[in-house]
Amino acid sequence: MQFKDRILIMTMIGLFACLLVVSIEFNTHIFSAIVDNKSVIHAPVWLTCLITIALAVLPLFWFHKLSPVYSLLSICVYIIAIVSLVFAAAYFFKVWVPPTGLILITLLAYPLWSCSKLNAAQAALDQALQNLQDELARLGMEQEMESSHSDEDPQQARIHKLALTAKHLRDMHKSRSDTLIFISHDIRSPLGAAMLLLDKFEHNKYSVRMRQLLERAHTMAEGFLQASRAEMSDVNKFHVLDMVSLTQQVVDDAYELLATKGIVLKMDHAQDNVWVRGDFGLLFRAVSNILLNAINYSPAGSVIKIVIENDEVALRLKVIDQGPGIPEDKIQKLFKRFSRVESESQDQNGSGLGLYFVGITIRKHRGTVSAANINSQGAEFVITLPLERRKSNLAVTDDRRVKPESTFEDTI
Amino acid sequence: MKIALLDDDLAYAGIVIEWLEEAGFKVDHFKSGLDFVRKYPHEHYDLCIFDWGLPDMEGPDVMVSLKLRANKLPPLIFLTGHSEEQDIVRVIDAGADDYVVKPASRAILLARVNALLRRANPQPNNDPCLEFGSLKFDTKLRLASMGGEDFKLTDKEFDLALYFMKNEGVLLSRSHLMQVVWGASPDIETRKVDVHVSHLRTKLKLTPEHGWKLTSIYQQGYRLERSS
Repeated sequence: MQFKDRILIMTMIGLFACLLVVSIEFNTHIFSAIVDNKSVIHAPVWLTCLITIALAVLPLFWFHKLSPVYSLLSICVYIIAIVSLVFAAAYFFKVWVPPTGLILITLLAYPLWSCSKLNAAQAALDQALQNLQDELARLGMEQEMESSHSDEDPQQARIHKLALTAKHLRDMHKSRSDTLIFISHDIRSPLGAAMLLLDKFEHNKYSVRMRQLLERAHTMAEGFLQASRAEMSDVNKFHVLDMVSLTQQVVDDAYELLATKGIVLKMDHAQDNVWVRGDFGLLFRAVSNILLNAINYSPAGSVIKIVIENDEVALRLKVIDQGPGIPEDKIQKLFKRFSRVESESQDQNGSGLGLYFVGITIRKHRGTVSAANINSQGAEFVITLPLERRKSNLAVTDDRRVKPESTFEDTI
Repeated sequence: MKIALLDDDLAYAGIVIEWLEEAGFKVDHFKSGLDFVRKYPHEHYDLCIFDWGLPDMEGPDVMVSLKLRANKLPPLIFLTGHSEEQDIVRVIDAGADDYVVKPASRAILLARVNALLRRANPQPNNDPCLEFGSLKFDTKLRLASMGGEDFKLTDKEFDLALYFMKNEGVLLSRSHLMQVVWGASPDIETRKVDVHVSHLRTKLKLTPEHGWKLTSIYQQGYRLERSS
């Protein structure tokens, strides 16, 4: 317990004792003035003390659980309740318990306590903010606010400090993503060129191994790049697109891989077009990642089913395979960064970012994605996305792209 | 056929030159935009391949410089390191015919080059019956069929299908398709093109099982290719 708290409690107890004694005397006079009823008797002093103490302590049970505004309200209500009770007791049971002491105690002690609580919270928050700023300063973010805002009202300065810290954090997040995009992008080109050059060599076990390594590095760079892009994508630039066509295109792209592995793909959709609002590139890759994941874990000769169904508000896209399923302990972590369902029989050339990308993309589109095992055999991935509900004629004007300024005019 | 390649990335340019020469093209390689702009008026090129980012100027700037010197440009492919929607939109808006994302494979690069050269140098053909793979188009009766079975296509679908077939392998922007098939009506719904293309895919079975691949490129454009 802090020193300040002890002082406060001591003051409270002192006040309490004084008020108790004074109020008993005081109330007698008030009572005789207010209630002109001969049959009402005074409660004995010991009983008055007991009731006052009990009722003064009662708000302790809920007071600490409420926010400052509600605790103040609750105290007001409590006081009204006490006064009503006292008068009710005088009226019905003809017993007068002087309430002034209790009212004064409740009125003074609890707001004081509340104030000290707020003070402590503010100190803790200030400390936390200072720590965060020190941390940021250590990371090289400048602290320009110290000098320029020192004469401001402290509350204002605090808010300003917080806003600035938030801005620093946002800047850091953006610069981190920009760096990641830059590195992954620039590392892809030489890797790609190296893979093309490797084709010039005769195939032997070294060239095959080298190709695998290069491919893995390339996939990883691509994975980082895509995940960063999904994180940075701008919801305001989404436009209306047809998920059935998009999924068909994903399936077309995977045709050769499916044929090579001898997997049959069945696609089932109730409607020809299902419109959502989104980013074509991101959604294409998200659906593609889920399908490729299913193909990767499907045995030869098995069937992968893709079902697209929708109600009035949402679309559900299911990808169901007949593979070994997902180990139960991995399901929760599936859409986290660097998670990969390890399996000895499968090749491990994934970047661990494929499903993480799916998670980010679908969240950006205000949808959900989940995975579950099927009782018989296999896994089922389900994406849900909200439907585009605007009427088509509205969508046109909305969808019309604002043409970027022509490069020609810029340069002529 | 002579191709101009403008790219300062020597490792990749070397590979591309080799592919093109193996395919029987003559290639002039330039490392800077200025070099190319100076040389261009004195040479005839059937096709140009530009890198988007060059040390002295950007690919689209080179295009503008060329346009100031000549009325008609040969077909143009941009090499771009990016494959995002905004990059593709920039390529189409800049007036290029197609793009290839670096590092592209030999097959893709040559497919793009050949598709554009085919379009630039069409073979005169007055026969009303045209064949594309197993699909037959009778332009007089406006009928499309496969193996003796007629497809029920609407007028617009027929026009769209025929236009796709005649421009096999070429990137056709959505606004271009709207203009060709629906006329230059600015009020037409953008969804309409997507719906028509999706109907065509289903009706004509334009899927890899049937030897075709119809791709939407970020919904900015479409490309119909033969599937290998």
